[in-house]
Amino acid sequence: MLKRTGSKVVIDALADAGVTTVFGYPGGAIMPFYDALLDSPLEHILVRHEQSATHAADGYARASGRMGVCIATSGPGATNLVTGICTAAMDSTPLLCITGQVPTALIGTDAFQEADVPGLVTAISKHYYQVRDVDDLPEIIAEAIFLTTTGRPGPVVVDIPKDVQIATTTRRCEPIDHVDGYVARPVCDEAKVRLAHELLKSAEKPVCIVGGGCKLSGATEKFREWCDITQMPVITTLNGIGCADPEYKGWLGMPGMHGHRRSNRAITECDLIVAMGIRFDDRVTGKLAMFAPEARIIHIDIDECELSKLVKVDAALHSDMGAALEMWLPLFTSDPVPDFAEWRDEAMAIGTGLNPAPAPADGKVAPTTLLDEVMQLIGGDAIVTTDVGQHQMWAAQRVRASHPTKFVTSGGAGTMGFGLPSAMGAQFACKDQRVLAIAGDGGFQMTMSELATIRRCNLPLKILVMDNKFLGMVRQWQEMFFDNRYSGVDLSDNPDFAALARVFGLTAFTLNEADRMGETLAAWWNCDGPALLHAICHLEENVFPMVPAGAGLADMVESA
Amino acid sequence: MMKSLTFAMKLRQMSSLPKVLMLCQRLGGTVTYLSAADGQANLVLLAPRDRAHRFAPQLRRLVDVTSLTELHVLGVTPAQTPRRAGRRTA
Ligand SMILES: Cc1ncc(C[n+]2csc(CCOP(=O)(O)OP(=O)(O)O)c2C)c(N)n1
Repeated sequence: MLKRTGSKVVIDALADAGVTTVFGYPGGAIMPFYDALLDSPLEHILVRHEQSATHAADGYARASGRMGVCIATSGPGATNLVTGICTAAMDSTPLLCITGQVPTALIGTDAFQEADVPGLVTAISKHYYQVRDVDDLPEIIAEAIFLTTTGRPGPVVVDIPKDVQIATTTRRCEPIDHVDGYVARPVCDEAKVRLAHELLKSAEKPVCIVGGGCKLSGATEKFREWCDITQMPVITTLNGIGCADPEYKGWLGMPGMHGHRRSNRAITECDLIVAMGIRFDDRVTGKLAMFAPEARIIHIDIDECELSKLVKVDAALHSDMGAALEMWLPLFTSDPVPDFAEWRDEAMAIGTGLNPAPAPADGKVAPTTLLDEVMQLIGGDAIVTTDVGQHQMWAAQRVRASHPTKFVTSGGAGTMGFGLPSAMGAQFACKDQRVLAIAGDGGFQMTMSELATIRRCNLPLKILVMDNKFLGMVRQWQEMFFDNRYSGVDLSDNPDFAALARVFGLTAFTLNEADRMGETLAAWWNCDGPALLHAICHLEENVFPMVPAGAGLADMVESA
Repeated sequence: MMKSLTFAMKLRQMSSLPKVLMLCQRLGGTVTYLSAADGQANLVLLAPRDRAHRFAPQLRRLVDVTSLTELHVLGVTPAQTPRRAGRRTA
């Protein structure tokens, strides 16, 4: 019988699962695994911080629909993964994390670089394993891959002590397609779909809100078919951006705190919401008591926990979204629904509420104007990743992603530092596609060491750092809700980001004056290889529309 | 207002009990009784009434909980529940 080391077992399972690239950072407790990587077909990308490995693997997964894999050593290596695991959990990314652990005999002794990984990830992972016997490893790794990619995807952590990586086993394991008590692809009864159909038939002003579950279910094409048939207004949440065809006549935009005016208005006025693959996040609903006061609600979600969790629904379809739509689509032929085109046009006519920013008196770049130009330049097929803050919301309000894999952002966790490494991961997953990372000056500085990785791998991605010399989003809240008392948000002594990028070996541009915007953007976007644009922006532009925290969607503030 | 919830569950491994307890705590529940042996656990908790519906699906979502049955005790009013539970654990 063929004997394999624990390390080889893991590598074989990853390669068999179609993984081509892994992101990681070595250390003592993971050295046997790193040694085995040398003889493997997997491409290992050495990041400059383990958090970036998680975000890169996350970006890889979100842009490709495949599982992302990251690797870290024990102790501080593993603890550095925590933010990325939480980020992936909040947005349901299939992320497999392999951590080295001190040898089994030393676990529990406070050994050098020992950390209780199961204890650390219990609350933020979909599942975790600590492998104590190499004979268990083939099955564990197969199960981990199955769990991370199926059902509601999420991060799974496999903690492997050093001696288990070295020990050998003859055990093999076929890919797993079943775990006791775990439903990998729930499909609701047809009766539930009929109930939803009846509710839709009796509606006059229905609205659909679609979220990240659509992409995760691989249901984008079916969803677009459903839109074409129903012709009803469609709203895409932050993680649902790209699910609706940007050319669709009834695409209202984003809902919630910084949503488009017409989206929030439609939610407030509609008589039925068809919610697909969304969580009714508080940033989407605003004050729950005021959310869609006139509406009945149909909710399709793969996760039973989401059904009536926050908003009581009238039809709960516990189902994979694609499976539910497969049952629903034929009903429209046999039992047509009313024509919603008039209501759709009425809802669209409310407008986005994105007013062109007045030109700053100092001649500086208005960030919203900049992003309008950038989105125009790059079109809908480029993959856009963002960091977190004002620029994220401005980008989400303006992007015209042709597919949900084209807009990658940390929605649920809102993790600063996500933008640059996730773009790196997206570029590895989609080597022939254009990738743009948009970051604020604050978030960029959290993971900017990845410029070194980008340079080494000569990734042709483009980076836009929007430098408003503030932690902009926090500053906006302080301006609006804390009486202009700016506390801990000053970044006025930022470095010259273009010079910094050049030190790392990237091509870099600076945009300082609004009237040079067009030519600078074109030079940056069209140059070969990795390139950073340092855009020095107007300092105090705010994101509008805005629904203040705790207010209802109807209480949207449109401008200062 | 609190509501008493009673669950019987099967666990893949007993070491997943902390995860069950942590989840109950996060959802605002107070565990008043727990017995567990041989991969089975019985749990009684007091849950805020407006959040009580979240416990069963969230517990079921844990990969290590392979089956979950919610037991409905007839004739128990919320006011009686804490004392009853207290007596049982004493
Ligand atoms: C890791 C992390 N720390 C803190 C925050 C809180 N936070 C949200 S937005 C923001 C400001 C972001 O500033 P910047 O990166 O400059 O982007 P801008 O808002 O100016 O576009 C902060 C501090 C966060 N989301 N993530």
